[in-house]
Amino acid sequence: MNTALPGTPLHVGLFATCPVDLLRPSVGFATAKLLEQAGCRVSVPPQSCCGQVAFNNGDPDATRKLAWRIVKDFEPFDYIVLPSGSCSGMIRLHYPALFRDDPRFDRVNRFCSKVYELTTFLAEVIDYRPAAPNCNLAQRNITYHDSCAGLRELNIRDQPRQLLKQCAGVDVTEMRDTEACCGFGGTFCVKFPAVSNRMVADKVDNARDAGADLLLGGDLSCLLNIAGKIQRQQNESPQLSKVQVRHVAEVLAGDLDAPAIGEGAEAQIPHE
Amino acid sequence: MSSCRTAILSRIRQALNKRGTPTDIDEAFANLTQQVPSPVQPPLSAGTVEAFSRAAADNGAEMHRIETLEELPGWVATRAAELGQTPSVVVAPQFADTGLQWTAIETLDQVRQATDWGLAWGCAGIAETGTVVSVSRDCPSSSLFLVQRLIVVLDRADIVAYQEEVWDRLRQRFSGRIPRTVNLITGPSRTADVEQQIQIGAHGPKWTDYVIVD
Amino acid sequence: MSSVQPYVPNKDFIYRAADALADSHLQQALAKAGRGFVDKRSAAVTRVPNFEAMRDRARAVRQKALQDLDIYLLHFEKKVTEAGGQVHWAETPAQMREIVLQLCARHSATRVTKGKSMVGEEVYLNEALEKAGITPFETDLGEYILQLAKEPPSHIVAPALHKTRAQIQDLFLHHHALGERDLSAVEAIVDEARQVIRDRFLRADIGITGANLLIAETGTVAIATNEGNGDLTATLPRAHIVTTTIDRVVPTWEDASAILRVLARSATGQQTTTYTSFFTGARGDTDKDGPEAFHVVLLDNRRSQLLGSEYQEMLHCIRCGACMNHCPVYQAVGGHTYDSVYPGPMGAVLTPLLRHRDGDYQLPNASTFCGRCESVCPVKIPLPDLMRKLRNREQQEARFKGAGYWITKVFCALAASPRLYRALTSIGTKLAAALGARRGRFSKLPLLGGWTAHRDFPAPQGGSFQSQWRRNGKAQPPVGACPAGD
Repeated sequence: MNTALPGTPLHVGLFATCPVDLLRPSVGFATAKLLEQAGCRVSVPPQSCCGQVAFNNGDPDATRKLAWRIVKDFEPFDYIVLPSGSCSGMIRLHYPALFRDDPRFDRVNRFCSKVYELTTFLAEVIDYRPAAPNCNLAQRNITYHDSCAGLRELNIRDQPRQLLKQCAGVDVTEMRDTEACCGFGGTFCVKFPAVSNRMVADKVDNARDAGADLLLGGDLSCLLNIAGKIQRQQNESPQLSKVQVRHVAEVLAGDLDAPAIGEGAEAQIPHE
Repeated sequence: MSSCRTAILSRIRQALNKRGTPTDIDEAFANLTQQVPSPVQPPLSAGTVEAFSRAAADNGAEMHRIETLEELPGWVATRAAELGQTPSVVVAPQFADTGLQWTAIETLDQVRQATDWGLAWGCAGIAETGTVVSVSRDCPSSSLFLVQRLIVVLDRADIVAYQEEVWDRLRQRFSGRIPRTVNLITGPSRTADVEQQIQIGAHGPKWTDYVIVD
Repeated sequence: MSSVQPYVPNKDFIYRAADALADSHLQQALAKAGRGFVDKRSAAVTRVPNFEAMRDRARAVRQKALQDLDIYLLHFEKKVTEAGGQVHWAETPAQMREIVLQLCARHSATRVTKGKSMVGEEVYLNEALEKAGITPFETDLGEYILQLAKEPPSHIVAPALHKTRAQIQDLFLHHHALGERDLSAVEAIVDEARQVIRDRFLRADIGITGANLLIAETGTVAIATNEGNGDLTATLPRAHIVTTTIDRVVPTWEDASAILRVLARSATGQQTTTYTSFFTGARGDTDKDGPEAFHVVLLDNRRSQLLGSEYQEMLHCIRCGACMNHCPVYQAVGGHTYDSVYPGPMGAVLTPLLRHRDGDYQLPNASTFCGRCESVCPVKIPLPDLMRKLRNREQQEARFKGAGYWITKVFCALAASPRLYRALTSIGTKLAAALGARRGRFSKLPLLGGWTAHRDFPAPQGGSFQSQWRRNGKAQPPVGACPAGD
């Protein structure tokens, strides 16, 4: 798979994805840090959306336009890496389908085969093994939410768990129904709020039942949903156990300075 | 509603980009089904008879063996005694030619009440799922379905590994027209319609005994 | 007479969902059913090492059947006729009802037993029979419970999945004049149904069943059941009518095996259903029993329009119910929320295609595209893809575009110019971060009321990733990249 010349570092185009770009840049920096630790040269060209929003809301033409833009801007890189299973799945699986009857198909297809979700890239493409763990979270009780697209479109399951062991010295405590959706589903969560709420409430219950104090995942959008629910519940019922939420990249990179998702400056005050 | 038939078929042909119907439908069908891909079947956990017995037991059938068919009437009487019952047994017509003497139990030609037992001679057993096969040329459905306990006798030699072997046997035995009903039966009737809790004994038999004749 | 209120659904999925979420009986029933199906299927599938190959084969059989559907249907019809039966064709539900009523009149039927048939539900057959003075007796336990409750099924395999044991017990006590008795155990309920329904089998003039498969080779109707009611319905009365659809046909018995191997495993986690029965024509001279007349009514109801379309794969469906059993939306709100005979993911695709009713497009929208349905579908129907296509079709057909459409349009236009996008979002995120920095989250936000009704919205950290990266001077032009000409 290594397409770079011997001695030249792999040049990776980092596609941060909208949620990371707009809401949680720390995940982007953690991703870059991991890729650089793994010996890659990292670039962040101007970027926007992979097109998933338009794609899932019935606008394939708009999606193709955005997709082609990304293909052109990112195809010079050896690899394109995203801290998201959902957006990686969008590109790897759905771009080729979108260009099936298009003369640009071959070029799109070639591009898509270079696109990887972060943990898969680290674990399977470059076999990243840190010299020393970036942090030690062995004392934390960590559970992992397998986001749907990553799990079912890209078979992301073992990769983050294996990396967490190597990079943070921690074993994941599995929660019940780890394969079940958290209820985010893009516009679903605002179009069908009551159903979405029920799904995310179940997810949070499962995380609490597993005794987790830190929930990790590979897709920021799901994590925003889960964190938002946890915090609303904690507001309403302060006696509930505290569960923090972070993107797996932050933990793998040992970048834990930023408050956990949805926690502001006030959360820096030790919790009593 | 022959206009419906024409309309539906013409829409189908249009969708499939087909022009007209073949004049000989048998030939057209034969051409399409000439090539039979090798079936995808689950591997058996043991030899055919052993796998059959295991799968049938898994699916709730009670397994028994007798040496010869002559032992059958005695076996049925013993079974009834074992269970502390004195059932009337609906004996399938296929036993008529066997000359078996049913002296120890009351036998019937057809089902009278809900507590009757049924006795049938399966034409095949399928190891894959622990299933017995009966056809309406041999045995009426009522004595398979309206009884409380169904006893199916099987010749050991009639137990095959997979469904497909039964289809071949049926084609051989009934080259002209297959029987109105082919029943594949796997254990006692059941339902999970109340809170998805499996309850054995719905409309069909509550208990099934499979008796293999060696 | 009955204290049971007729079931009248709200027109809007969102309201039906809200009702379902607030219905404690329903939630209790769904919780009981919930993981049972999932665990049973999973165990059954793990027991066979080659289940994936079985799925591929089943899919291939469905593809083959549709590829020459006309020939298989004609061969099926010819063989049914040769076996003393008759095939009837109906384009619409109304035509199917009319055919069945004519057949009932021809056989002077006043009492009809029914096996479970989703097609019967699709065309509202019971209502038509009752109007014509014919009493339909549902014999499948789940369908029987719903007939007493005057409700439609909420699941294609387990029709009464939404009923609790206590509700069923009340229905039986109310409708069966059998005196005081204890029906608290499932066994007692099932025994009572067995007792009440048995007599109906014996006295029915006509039996109506559905079909799991039609085998073209011999003109055979295959039915897979567990209770045994289907067989008693098909065999004991004078006539057997099968209500089914044109897409149920498979070429040969071997092809039927390929479907049956994945059907029960996917549906209930059984290796096989207790009964798999094959009915060919009317009773022959040497048959020991069976009906004197055999009729197969084939319904189209827009299925032929799906053939050759981008939705053709939906016709692969073998009605196992695995998609709904694994659907988080179905598990949360139950089948009635879909207001269709076909709920869950398969229904979310099939309903708008077959019914074309206002509001049906809500169904393919009511999905998170979590993909679990596709991952368990025994014939690998790409259900999320098909739902996505329907969302696309909805947009194309819509005369008035909603707010969501315009928001997406504006976003896409902005996103098409990454540099402009970067500049604007950088400002936007900084502003939002300043507002939410202290608490780290918002409990109310414009346009995101659906979100903040139930959860907080985590505040942005401040500034976009791209702009920070650029400011930190880490931006490097990619090797060989042409500066994007917008």
